[in-house]
This record gives sequence, C-alpha cells and structure tokens, in this order.
Amino acid sequence: MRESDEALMVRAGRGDRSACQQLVERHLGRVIAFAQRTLGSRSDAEDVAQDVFVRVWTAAPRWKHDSARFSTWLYRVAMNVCLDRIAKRREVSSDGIPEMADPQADPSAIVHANEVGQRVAAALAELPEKQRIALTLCHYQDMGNRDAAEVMELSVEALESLLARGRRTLKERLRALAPGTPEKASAR
Amino acid sequence: MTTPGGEPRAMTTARFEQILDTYGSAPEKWPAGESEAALALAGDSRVARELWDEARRLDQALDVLVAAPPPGALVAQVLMDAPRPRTQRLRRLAFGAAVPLAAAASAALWLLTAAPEPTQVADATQVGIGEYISATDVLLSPLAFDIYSDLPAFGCDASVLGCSDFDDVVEPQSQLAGYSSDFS
Repeated sequence: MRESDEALMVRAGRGDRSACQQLVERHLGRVIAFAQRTLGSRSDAEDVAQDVFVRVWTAAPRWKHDSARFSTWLYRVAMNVCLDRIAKRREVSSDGIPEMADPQADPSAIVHANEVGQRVAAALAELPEKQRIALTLCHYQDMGNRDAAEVMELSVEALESLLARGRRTLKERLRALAPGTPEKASAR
Repeated sequence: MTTPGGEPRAMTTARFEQILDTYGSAPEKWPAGESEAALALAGDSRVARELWDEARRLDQALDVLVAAPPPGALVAQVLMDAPRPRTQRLRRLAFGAAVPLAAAASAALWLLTAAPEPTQVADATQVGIGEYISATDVLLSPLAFDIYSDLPAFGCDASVLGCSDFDDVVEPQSQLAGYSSDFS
C-alpha cells in the first residue's frame, strides 16, 4: 500500500532518507511544472521548487499526522513563492528594467517547441495570475475544485468563477488553433 | 443539480457551457448530479456537441504544455538539504566541534615544543655585589658638585633675634666623605 504523503513527512522530519527521497520523487517534478506554468520560466520554476523544498524540510520535524493535507499545504507554499516572484518582477519592471527571457536557457522550449505549444504558453501567460493558478491546479495538477479552492484560500464558487473566466479567455485566444489541434502529450 | 423534488433538473445549453468552462471537457470532472443530464443534452443537441468539441480542443491544447522532468542535479541538491537522522546530525555536530578543538590543541603543542631555549645574555650571577656599577650610580656620584659646600648662606644670623648661630652649626658632612678614596 502506498504510504501517504503525511506519513512520509513525519518520517522525513526524523531524518529518514528514504521518506525524503519518496517525497522528492512524488512532488518535485509537479512543483516545477506548477511553477513553470505559473511563472512561464523554467529556470525560475526550478529556483521556486528548490525554495519550496527547503520549506518542506524545515516544516518536516514539526509535522503532525493530523496537520493539513500535505499536497494542499505544498501547493499553497508553492503558490505563495510564485506570487512573491511575480510581485518582485513587477517591481523590477516598474523600475524600467525590461524583463528578459532567454529561450536558450529554458529547457521547456524544447518540449513545446511547436507553434501550438508556444501559442498556448503565451495565452496562458497572459491570463490574470489567479485564473492561471486556478487552471494550473485543476487542469495540470489534477486537483479537485474543493482542494484547489483550499490551496488558493477561496470559496469553491470563487474558484469556479476564476476557472470559467480563464477557460473562456483561453478559448477565444486559441480559437484559431481549431480544428486539428495537436498531438496530445502523454505526461502532465 | 436536482429540483426540490429530487428530480434531475433539465440541462440547458447555457448551463452545459458553464459546466464545460468550469470543469473542462472530461465528464468525470463534471458535478455528479448533473453529468447525466449534460451527456443527454450533448446527445440531443448539435450546439451542445459543438460546445463540447470546443472544450475538448482547449483541453488538448493545454495538454501540449509538458514540463520536463527535474534535472538530476536539482534532485541531488534538494535531497542534500533534507533533514538528516539524529545520530548523523549529532555526529556532524561533534565533528564540527572537534575540528576547531583539535586545531587549537595542535597549535598549543607546536608552540610548546617549537619555542627556542631562552639565551643567556649576561652571566649576571657571576657579578659580585658591589662590583657592578650601574648607570644610576654614576649619575649620582658627587664628582664635581657638593650640595652642602656650594650652597649660598641665607637667613638671619643675629643672635638677638634668636637666630641660630650658623657658625656653630655643624656643617653636615659632605657626601664626599662617605665615599672611598677613589672618588676624593
């Protein structure tokens, strides 16, 4: 039987290396993916993931079995770290320094190198950040609306409103892609 | 969604579109109480089917964005930051304390063993008492100046006023007298 994340956290807090390894295997890639879709930058996403896991390890020794659900807590931490980054970017942008993206430094460019991928990424990046986070949690992280609402500390109704507005905007922006949109990727 | 009587509420195209926008194209994500009616509507209505197709295309487009797996270096770094077992932590702490202590002990030992023997600059014990004349002795020696004989006389010498008779005063012995003939 698969051990729960919460039980792994308790063991990780005691310094159990195999528990730490399992948590990393289960969640590091997903946290990177979440941050990459939220921030639109792979290198930033990796920095965020490392930062998030430092917080995981700090919290582990104090983790109790009856604490919050690990995945909810983890994505809330990841979301807050991403939002901090977005706020800092805004500060930098408002200082007149243009935001530069280096496509060569972004391995994700290899993954969605085709035109559709780039257009989807651009459309997603243009969404307001809360709509983007809501869509990322529900579509990519396979979270139920209730869990996603808990991560975002919103009511389910508010989350569903964000999702509906986000999807409608994306549909309009991507309408040109229809029909025959692309090969479906196997992994999320 | 059901009526107050528990009957499934009739699905409208507007509500179907709202479900697609909120939950996506996968029926398993639709609200349990409404999915049956929604599927029925999609079976009957061409407009509903078109809406559903559009929602599917959006989901497929979103699925194009695939994140690459984490690089090995990042996995290693994250694991390096992970908590360590208590004994390992204590061992690390002990090692951390032992290194500076050992360094301090080595330095002290080196200082003790490598310090040179003090060299004797003068065989002071062989100088007899009275044989050694210090610089102070030389400076104080009354070679050319006798304080008692060279001082001018002053004060009163009238006996009627009760002054002492200076002639009777025994002149203090010159300090020259205390010295050996070597200095006189």
